[in-house]
Amino acid sequence: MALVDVALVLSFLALMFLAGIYFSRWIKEADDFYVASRQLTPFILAATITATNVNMYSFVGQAGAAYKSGLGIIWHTWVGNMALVFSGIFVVPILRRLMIRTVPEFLEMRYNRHIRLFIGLVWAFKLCFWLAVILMAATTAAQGITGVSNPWIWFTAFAVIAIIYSAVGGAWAVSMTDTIQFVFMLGGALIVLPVAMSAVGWMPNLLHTLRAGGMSEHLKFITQGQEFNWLFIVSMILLSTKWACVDQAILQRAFGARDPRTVAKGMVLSGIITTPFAFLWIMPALANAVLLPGVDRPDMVMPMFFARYLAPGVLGLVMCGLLASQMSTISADINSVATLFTSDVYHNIFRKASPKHLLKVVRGATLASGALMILFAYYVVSRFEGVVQANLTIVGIVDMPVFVITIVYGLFSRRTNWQGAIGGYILGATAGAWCFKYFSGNPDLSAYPIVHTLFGPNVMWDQWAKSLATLASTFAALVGTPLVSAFFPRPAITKDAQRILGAFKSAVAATSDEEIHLLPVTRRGKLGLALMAVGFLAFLFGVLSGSVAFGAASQFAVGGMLVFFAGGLIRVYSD
Amino acid sequence: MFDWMTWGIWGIGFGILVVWIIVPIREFKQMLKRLHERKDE
Repeated sequence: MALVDVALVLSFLALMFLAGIYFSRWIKEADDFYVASRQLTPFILAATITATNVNMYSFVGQAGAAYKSGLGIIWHTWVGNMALVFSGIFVVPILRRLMIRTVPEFLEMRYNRHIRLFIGLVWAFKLCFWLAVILMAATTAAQGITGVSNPWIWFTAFAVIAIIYSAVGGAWAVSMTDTIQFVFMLGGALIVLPVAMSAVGWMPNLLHTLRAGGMSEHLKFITQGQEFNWLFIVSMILLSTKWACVDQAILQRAFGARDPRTVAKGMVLSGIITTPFAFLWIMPALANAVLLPGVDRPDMVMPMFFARYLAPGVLGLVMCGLLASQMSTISADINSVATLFTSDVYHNIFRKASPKHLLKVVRGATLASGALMILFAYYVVSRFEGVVQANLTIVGIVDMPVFVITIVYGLFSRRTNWQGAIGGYILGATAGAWCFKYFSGNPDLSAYPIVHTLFGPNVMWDQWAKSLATLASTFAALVGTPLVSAFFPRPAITKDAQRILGAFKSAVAATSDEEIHLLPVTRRGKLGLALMAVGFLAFLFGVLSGSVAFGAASQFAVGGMLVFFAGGLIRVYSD
Repeated sequence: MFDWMTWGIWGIGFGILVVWIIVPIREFKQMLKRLHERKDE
């Protein structure tokens, strides 16, 4: 790196540090720290959700996956965006009305405090693992760009500033710096795209070269037999819906919105703007399949590209964008880990702790979770091939059962008791883990004709083990939860259960401008909802028809997605 | 030959960038005003 690049990066880090520290003066009470006083506005909320969502896992990990396997990985982001729109309109506004800070808090309202404690602990550790995954992605990139290979230097540089301002300024610091970082992130990506495309001779030459080189499958949105094929997309529908409905980092940002309607607007806008944004890291990756062929470690492709093709000064600006993407996610997730630990574990055990004491605990928890993140990155994540695989493996097994017991049965079934919730979770996680282990061993299922029809010849089951584990854990939790519940008494109607019902009724009635109707009553709202339904069905048809290599599968899937977004935007700006 | 696809995507991204600089600044100013009014109450 040239001196000008180093100067740009250090200036950016200083700006972020000062901006983050400034908001410590806005922290007077607990809700200021946890949920930014519930004052966030739609566009700021959209920026902070997008900045939390997009990080070097996208710019390095997903780009590496696109380099190796083509366009299919883009659905990891796009399906997530569709899930944000769905959740923003139908799920999170209900949770926002309950004035909760964490999802486990909802689990105590619905079941009991033991489930809150159990899930709070599981999630706090799981989030630390996720932080370690993205920290490893950032470290890999920095090593490739600068040649400085000591990971401890990069762990410190990427994590320390974000940890400090998150500990001091809480959700206010996180949300406001996220909004600034979103601009830097997008700006950096807008620099990279034309540099990569001009180096490869622009789009016509890229398409021609990939096709001539036998890489036509790289250019298909929906494939039958590639690693990120139709089955991957189906598993992403489940995982993304789960993520958008119960991910603590995303929800904690959304809980900071000033009212339920702002939640809906912020989440829908975030889903929509991240969609074209995804091209800004996927297209350069495809260009690098031509510019830098034969790279063994896909995670190293984009760092190599930045080091070779970006001039001094330009590299510094792009590095600021990468740092911004990383810091926004780390600060948001660390804020969430600390909130989960303090609110759902510590305060759950020490119920008489004062608000002042809890503020000290949450700040300490922020620092401790930062340390745990670094240890996980060095001792655990570095052993997995590629950060995409590491994250998807853990999440597919552990997360789907939580979504089932929280949203599917927690919100929509009064018969489900806490015994059913615990039983369903254990059954789901066990089924997911077994399924992953079985298919990772590449079993020979060629004797079954349906396998040949759906997946083509020469199936390598180990590359789909994660997707199948996701389906298995979801199915087992869906079946297991009501089954176990049936053996135990119906849950009592408590004051909290009535609050949840009240939140539902408000969603249906929606009597003020700050609310959004669960089901629309105006013509424009109904049009929006209809477009969402038609768009989703077209998208689903496109995805499933990819299993039989239908020629227009990609067109249906992409077109359906765009119609879905149009419907969501109309819906959220109606009643 | 002009690469409409690349520059079209770039143009959408640039448009989002401009909007997300202008509107959040406006929202932040209104937020500050509301917070000061609450403090005065």
